[in-house]
Parts: sequence; structure tokens; C-alpha cells
Amino acid sequence: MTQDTGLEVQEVVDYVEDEALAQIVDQMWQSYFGHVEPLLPALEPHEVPAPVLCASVGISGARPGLVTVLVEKGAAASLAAALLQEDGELTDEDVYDALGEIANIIGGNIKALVPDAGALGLPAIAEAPPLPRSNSRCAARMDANWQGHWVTFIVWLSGTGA
Amino acid sequence: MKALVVDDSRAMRKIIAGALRKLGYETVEAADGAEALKVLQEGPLPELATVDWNMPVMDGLTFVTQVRAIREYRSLSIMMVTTEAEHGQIVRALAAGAHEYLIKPFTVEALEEKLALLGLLPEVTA
Amino acid sequence: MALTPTAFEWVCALVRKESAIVLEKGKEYLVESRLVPLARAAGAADVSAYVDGVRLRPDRRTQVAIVEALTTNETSWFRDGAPFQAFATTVVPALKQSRATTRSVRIWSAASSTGQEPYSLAIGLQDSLIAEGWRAEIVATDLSTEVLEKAKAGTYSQLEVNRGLPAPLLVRHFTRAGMNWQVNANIRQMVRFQQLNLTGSYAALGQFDVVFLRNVLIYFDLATKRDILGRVRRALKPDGYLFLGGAETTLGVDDNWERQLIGRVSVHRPKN
Ligand SMILES: C[S@@+](CC[C@H](N)C(=O)[O-])C[C@H]1O[C@@H](n2cnc3c(N)ncnc32)[C@H](O)[C@@H]1O
Repeated sequence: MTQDTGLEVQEVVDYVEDEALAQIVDQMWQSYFGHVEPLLPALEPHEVPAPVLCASVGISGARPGLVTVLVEKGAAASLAAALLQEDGELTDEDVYDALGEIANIIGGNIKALVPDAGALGLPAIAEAPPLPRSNSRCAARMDANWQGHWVTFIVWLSGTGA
Repeated sequence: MKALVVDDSRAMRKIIAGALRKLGYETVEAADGAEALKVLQEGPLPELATVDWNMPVMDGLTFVTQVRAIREYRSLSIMMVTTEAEHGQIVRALAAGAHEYLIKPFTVEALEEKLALLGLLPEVTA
Repeated sequence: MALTPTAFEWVCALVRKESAIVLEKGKEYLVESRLVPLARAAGAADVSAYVDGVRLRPDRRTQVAIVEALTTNETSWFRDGAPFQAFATTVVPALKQSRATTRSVRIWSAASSTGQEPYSLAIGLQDSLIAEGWRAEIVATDLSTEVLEKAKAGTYSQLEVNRGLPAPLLVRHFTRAGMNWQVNANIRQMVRFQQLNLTGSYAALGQFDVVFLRNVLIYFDLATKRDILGRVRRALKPDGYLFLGGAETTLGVDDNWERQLIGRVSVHRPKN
């Protein structure tokens, strides 16, 4: 990473703050998960214990970004069940779909904060967090606990020099 | 009344279609714009389509633009239901022919209030 | 820890005295859940301990905070739709005739909560009176200073703009401000917010052509409703219009009103 892209990245990173991410996540919980259990933000950073599932969506444009949702594998199914309001067994596909939609919703709302953002990509699911672009920085992060499981939301943004 | 729910996420289709069915709607689902066009071709024409923006194969904005080019579909009310949240995106969707726009995340009450704006909230018999 | 009967009764009496809001037995849970955040912020062990603290050492700020916490501020844009339609399609055209000489109207949003109601009215006037160069003043009042602050800022979360606001009006009258949306300055300038207890005097407000008094009488007892309706009648011009909430009526409360049906909406006019 060169010095001057670093500066540009710093500017971009300022568009999205932890507080904005927390507000989006909170609105999502109010809308879709509040009936099950509130999300408890952690006061300290907290790593999600393995094995994990990660959903991510990319933001293209002058300042590319990546929004990731990282959850304990065990919690992913409960999250999906809550979103779908279904008690029965869910297929892996259902779980991936629900997690992807969570990332999609956060991604769109984050994109709206970044000037001249391009398009939102489609969600991708993996068993490990994707590597962000080499010149990007963590613009916002939220660690939280839901039903005893850890969830982390991260927004990565790159500078215009990318 | 009949509604076409277009979204690539099955979870989101289920949330929207479930809420609409509770209100008395019959629902059909499509996972992208192209599939949704096929549903419309097969008929009968629903009163309402809820349309996501970002989908594989054919996105929601393209779908709306294509639907608006077809005279027979004039009576179809279109509501975008999407995470696209910029001022400019809402303007684009309305210009393309969507009547309403609901930003994700949304509550069921918000969905109902939007339907009321479209005159498409069925009288629920209590 | 459940709320003690003494603490509950003390809160009910305080809220009734300060706002006329009636909290009946059985609302213990509501009181407790609304006061938990205050108790927590004050570092009290639980809600009863918090209430006992103010009860034994009265403190104005805390009392006001308790009353405000027990107001219900639920509202939305163009709430219920039909009243705002009746306003635009029938009341505004009638005012255009009757106020043609002064070309100005005054409207009172009498329990304006976070501002959606007065701003909906201001937005609704844009293509009619405002486009034709009329003056419109909207006075918006509420008991709670907390909701008034938010209303003045005119800034709403995405969840709030999702509720009842037609998308064409969102893009026309709002600007994105970070995570939120702010009502544009031309609309904000039409509304004057002011703290006012409906049990107090309305003399300083002047007279109005239209009063929106919606979804607030439901919280009061019959005598209070009657008193407020009587005094609202005097704040209304003799040919003015009163809009109430869907579950509210003048019938059997104050019979000095004529009901006029506009579509399915009842509008109330002062008698004779
Ligand atoms: C449910 S909101 C109604 C908002 C709006 N009129 C509507 O219909 O959506 C009720 C409002 O009445 C206010 N209120 C309650 N008691 C009051 C009083 N005694 N004087 C003035 N306002 C009061 C509350 O603070 C609250 O904001």
C-alpha cells in the first residue's frame, strides 16, 4: 500500500462509521429478528469462533467496498429460521440464502452512504471470510451476540486510487 | 387479489408473500426478472408486483422497464422492494414506471401502508 | 423485579396530574418497560427503586422525564390516508373560496409527536395553496419536549420514511443525510413547533382554520376530553374544521359539534 492511496482510503473510510453500521443492523433486527431475540452489541471486539459461515456482497464503483457478515455455523441456521419464521429443518441452501439476504440488505444501505458508489453485487457464501482488496480498510465493524452466538459485521472500503 | 413477488432470495420472497397472503392475496413467485416476465406472459395478470432490484439474469429495473413497454400490463401496480436506498435510485425506479418503493429492511406495517397508498390493501374482515 | 403497587400508583398519579393521561390498573408492565431505560441510566437497582428515589426526594427533571416516557408517540406519514385525502380534496378547496380575501390559512397539529402529521399537512399543501402563492402557517404542539426536538430537526430514519410516505413525495421533499432522510427546508419552514400541554391554555395560539387533534384524546378521561374539545372549539374559527383520530369522536362527549362526512371520514364543525 502506498502512502497516497492510504490517505484516500482514510477519506473514504470516513463516509461509513461504526455508528451507521450499527444503525442499519439495528433496523434489520427490529424488522426481522426482534420477535425472536434482540441482538446484543459487544463492548469489546470479539472474534467469531470457528467453524464459521460468511456472507458477503461487493460494492463496485469509484470506491469499491465489501460488506461481510460472519456467524458461527451453528447460529446461521437459527438466523435463517428466524428470518423465514420456520421451525422445521432447513436445507443448507435456505441457510445460505437467508444469510446472503442479510448481507445484501446491509450492503445496499452502506452503498447509499458512499458517494458515487456503483452497483451492488450478488451475495456470496463461504466458510471463511473473503480476503478484502489489498488497499482496502475496515471502515466499520460491529461485533454482537445473538442467542449466545457471535456475529460480526464488517464494511471494507478502498480508496479512489484502487 | 393476486400478487407476483419477484426476489432472488427465497427468504425474502417468503416474508413478502407470507405478509400478502395474510392480507388475502394469492401469490406467485419469481426469482428474477426474466422468470417474472414469463409468469406475466402465462397470465392472468396480477394486480400487484413487488420487485427486488439486484437479481441474477434480469434485474428489477430492467424488468420494470420491459413491463412498462407492454400495453396489456398497464393495470399492473409495481412496488420496488429493495435495499437500494439512494435518492437517485428511487428517482430512477419511479421514472421507469414503478409506483411505489419500499426500502429493505421494512416492517410488515410499512408494507401494508404502502399497499394502502396504492389502493391495494384488501379490507381485512376482523 | 416487579413494580411495587406504591411505585405504580405514584407514577399513575404523576402522569395523570401532568398530562391527563390515564394509566389503568393492568398497565404495570407498560409502566415498567417504559421506565427501565431511565432507571438504568440513573444507575438505580430497578424501576421501583428509581421511582422511590424521586418519590421521596422530588426532582422536577426526573418527573418530566417519567411523564414523557409514558406518552405514546406512535405516528406515521399521512396516517390512515383518508383524513389527509379529505383535507386535500374537500377542505382545502372550501378554504380557497372562503379565505380568498386573506389568501392565508392557519392549521394546528395539536399532538404532533415527532412531526410526521404537521409535515404531511405542509407537503399536502404544496401543489394547491402554496403553488398559488397563499400563506400557510402550521402550528405543531406536543407535551413532550423530546419528540418536539426530533420534529424540529425533521430528520427521520429509513424505517420511519418507509411508513406511509408515498415514494414520489419522499424523493421530492426529502434529502438523504447519512443514514437518515431530512425534510427539505421549504417544508420545515412552514411548521412552527412549540411545547404545549393540552390541559393548559390555548390563548396564545390564536385562531385556526383547521385543527388536527388525532390519536391523543383516547388517552384521557371523559371530563378531560370534554374540556379539551370545548376549548379547541374556541380556538377554531366558526367555519373551521376539526379532524380526530379513527377511534375518537365528539359524540356523547361534546355536543356542540356538527359531523360532516367526507367519503368515510368524519370531519367536525362547530355548531351554529
Ligand atoms: C399517538 S401520538 C399522535 C400523533 C399524531 N397526532 C398522529 O395521529 O399520528 C400522541 C401524542 O400526544 C402527546 N400528548 C399526550 N398527552 C398530551 C397532553 N396532555 N398535551 C399535549 N400532548 C400530549 C404525546 O406526547 C404524543 O406525542
